[in-house]
Amino acid sequence: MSKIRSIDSPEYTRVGGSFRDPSGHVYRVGERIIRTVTKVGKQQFELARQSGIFDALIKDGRLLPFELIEKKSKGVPCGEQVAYELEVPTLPFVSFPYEWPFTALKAAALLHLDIQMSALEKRVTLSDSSAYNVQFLGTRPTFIDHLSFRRYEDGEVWAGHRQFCEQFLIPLLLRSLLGITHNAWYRGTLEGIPVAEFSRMLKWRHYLSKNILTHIIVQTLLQQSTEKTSLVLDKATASVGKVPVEAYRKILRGLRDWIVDLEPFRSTKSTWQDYSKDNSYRAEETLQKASFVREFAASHRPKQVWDFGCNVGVFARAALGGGAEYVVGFDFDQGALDGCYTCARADGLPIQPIVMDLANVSPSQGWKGIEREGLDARRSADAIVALAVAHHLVITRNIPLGEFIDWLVDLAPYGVIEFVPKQDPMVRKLLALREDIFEEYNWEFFKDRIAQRAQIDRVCTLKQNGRMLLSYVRRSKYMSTVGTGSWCSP
Amino acid sequence: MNGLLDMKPLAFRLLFSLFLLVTVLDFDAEAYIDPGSGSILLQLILGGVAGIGVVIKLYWGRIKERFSESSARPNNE
Repeated sequence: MSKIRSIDSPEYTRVGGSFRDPSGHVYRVGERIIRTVTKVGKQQFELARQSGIFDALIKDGRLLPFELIEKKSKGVPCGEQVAYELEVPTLPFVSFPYEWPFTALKAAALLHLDIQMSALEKRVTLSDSSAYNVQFLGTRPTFIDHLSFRRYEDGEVWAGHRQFCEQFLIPLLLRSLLGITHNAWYRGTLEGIPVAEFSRMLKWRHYLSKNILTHIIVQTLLQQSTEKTSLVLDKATASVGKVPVEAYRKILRGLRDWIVDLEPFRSTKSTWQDYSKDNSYRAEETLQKASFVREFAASHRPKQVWDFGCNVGVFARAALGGGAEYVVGFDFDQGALDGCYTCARADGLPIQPIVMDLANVSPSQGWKGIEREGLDARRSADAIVALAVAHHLVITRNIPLGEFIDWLVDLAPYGVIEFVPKQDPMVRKLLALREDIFEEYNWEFFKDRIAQRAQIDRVCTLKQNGRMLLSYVRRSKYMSTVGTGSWCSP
Repeated sequence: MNGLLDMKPLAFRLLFSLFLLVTVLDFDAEAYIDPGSGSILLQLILGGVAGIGVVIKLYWGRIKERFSESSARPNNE
């Protein structure tokens, strides 16, 4: 995993995003992840633990399991009054809501509401509704913050309602009502999409929806009425009015029923299936590529593969079939990723779909520039698969081919890259309306550049269209030895 | 009376608050950061009569001011 600046102790390195809550922090201790519970958070943690909510949620996989470390380890961060230390499992790949496709964000939103409802049964509630408290294990969302749970007081309002709207509901509505993806906006704000800004985008016909009227329009008007006038809603005034527990549940249930029916704008169930059809059109090529990836995975048995341009996940599945343990699939085609998520979830496969533009990957950002780590800081792949990607970046985005290859080879020790020659119909299409300024874009340059940093393992020409597949093993030093790899017959 | 008001449908409560906001208030004073009050007031309205009471009480001064005199409003930061 990545390195974060040391904050308190040379052994305990605080995770960059863990600074808000005084009731505890998350630390990396070597390869382990330790969550502290401070004296501030002790009482609420004990209460939640005794309520049985942790056991119930851990049992069905909705909450990350933890182990109490009875004997406090040495090197507990100085200055922190630690009452408990919990060890939690390391996640394969940490991701953020601005990297999730619609389908994943929807699953995370439903998980959050389900946890709220289950907690309420045990007279426990969540102190906030941060989407960053949800992480994915494959396609399965899991809640990770054990310190968000606290006692529910009779009649209290749902403290996280507005945050839920901004971090879950509105990003989903943006795509569902208006056909706009949430990712770029969310990456910019980090805290979600403001209710007031979203309400300005709505059309009059949207006002006819009871849910939109309630959670967006009226909330915005009420908010403005206190922001722009002398009205002050303080705790004492608010506490006079109660939200009975049944009304609280009704709000949660209402949101759940609404969100469960949300689908991307003008999409039908068959949208992602078109991608599969498109693949089957080139069935023979796909089979050849899949078998190359499967054999590659079988020979290196990677724990984690990063599949760039994963589309609906055909080659991610091939990698798993060959013995890879976990695949993070990157693409910027949201329709394809929604299909990838839906199919992988239905089949229970450890594939984690991520929205990413390779020419503009997630940067490290937020507080001190380390709160949310960039993609480069989260390097955890043993192998990369980049099929039908390079030509898009080089010819559409003008990324120099050599730089792209160097970046890929630096990411992981093993890899498979596809080279699409200039005579290929797809490249010809990309070049049709522009000058061909890509002299370097040829097989010899491609192969030699990889050979500068890696040992070429195997090369294969696809029968149908002359595209080339190349697998390699990275060298620690950049010595040039080309062509000792095996070749499969075209 | 509690029971009677509690049974009013959601639409009544929302329309009531919309009426209150659109017809009585104006939004010309300077804004300050108050992140959650819209959400809390909304939940109080959804929560029933006690909450609606709080909302009315909160706006009462404003309503009176609106209908009684046209003198300059206090400048709030």
